Amino acid sequence: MIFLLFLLFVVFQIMAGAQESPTYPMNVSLISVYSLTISDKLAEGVWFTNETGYKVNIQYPLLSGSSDNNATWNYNATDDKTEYWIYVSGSVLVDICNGAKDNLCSNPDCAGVDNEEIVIGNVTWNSTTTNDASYPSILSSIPMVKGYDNTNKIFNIGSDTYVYLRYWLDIPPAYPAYNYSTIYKIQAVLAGETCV
Amino acid sequence: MLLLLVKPVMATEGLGIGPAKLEIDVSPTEEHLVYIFLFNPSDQDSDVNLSVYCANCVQDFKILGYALGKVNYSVDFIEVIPSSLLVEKNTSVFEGEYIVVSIRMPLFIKKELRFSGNRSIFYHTLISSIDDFDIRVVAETGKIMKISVVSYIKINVRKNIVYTLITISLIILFVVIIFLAKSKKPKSRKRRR
Repeated sequence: MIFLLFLLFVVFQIMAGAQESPTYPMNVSLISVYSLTISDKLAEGVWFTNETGYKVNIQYPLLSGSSDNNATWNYNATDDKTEYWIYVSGSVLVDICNGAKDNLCSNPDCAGVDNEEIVIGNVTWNSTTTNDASYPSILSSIPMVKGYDNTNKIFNIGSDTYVYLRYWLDIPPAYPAYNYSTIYKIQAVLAGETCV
Repeated sequence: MLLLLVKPVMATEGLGIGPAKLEIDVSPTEEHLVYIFLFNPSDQDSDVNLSVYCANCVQDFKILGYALGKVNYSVDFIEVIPSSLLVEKNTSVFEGEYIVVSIRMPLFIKKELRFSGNRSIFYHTLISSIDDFDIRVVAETGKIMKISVVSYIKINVRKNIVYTLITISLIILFVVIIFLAKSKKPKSRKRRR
């Protein structure tokens, strides 16, 4: 028993000494860094418009049952290029995940009894590193998900690269002609890692 | 070199992070401080929220190869300070804001065992070297369009003298308790003829 008490005394003495905090000084020039920047139009959110609106970059209410509605700045009226882009910069390769916080809603925060909600999978997106009237294309576009889509990441983006995006929305039949929106999310992670 | 790689851009939302990945050894009962820096290559200030995720803290609870539930490791011993901050516009990697990740590695780790029927029990176990942690520190900014960057911290739990002594103490304590319990057992009476 005496030995045990002595041992415990020694342990707690050492524990008291071990509370000091070793820190890790960091030499910035030796470590990996990256950054993500998005275009002004993307920062304003993704808002969809009808057949007339996308040609003049103005948001108009969507028709019930309409499909492939463009986001307002999918095609800039002056040059047919998308105004939605992500710029990656840094010393490492990154993967980019897309996603949304929630379904599309007609009211802010999906609040109110008159709120209409559309499943987020009705939004599709696509990305390329070239930007013209044809690309990014609606062909093989990817359904948006809640949270982050780790299956359809934009892989291995190197430094000083622009990733261009376009978005489309299908309005199911019997949904009123409102402006539907949600909070979209973009995350950059080290290449090969999962988004959280 | 990094100044050449990380370029500022004319845009309203932007966020950078470093180091993107690091691995550290931490011993039980010790506190380690890890510094991560955030910078903002865009031309507007960014309000940044920080959070911590553990990538490997939910594991299957198996007996004889059968999964009976999930074990969730608590990482409340990891804290990001501050939890939110303003990162000024047009900052390079050398002008960024530092955040501190405080890791106070406990000797005993809290775990929650969840069974399939939403029943759960909490318990503590002595931490061991198999309890390594894959931690992600997520920095997020933006209102309508959220953008986030992630730093990965791999924490390897390393045994130290405190851990070894406490383990020995617990084993001795266990042996002593058993010995005392046995020695206090009432002796059976012999029958008189």
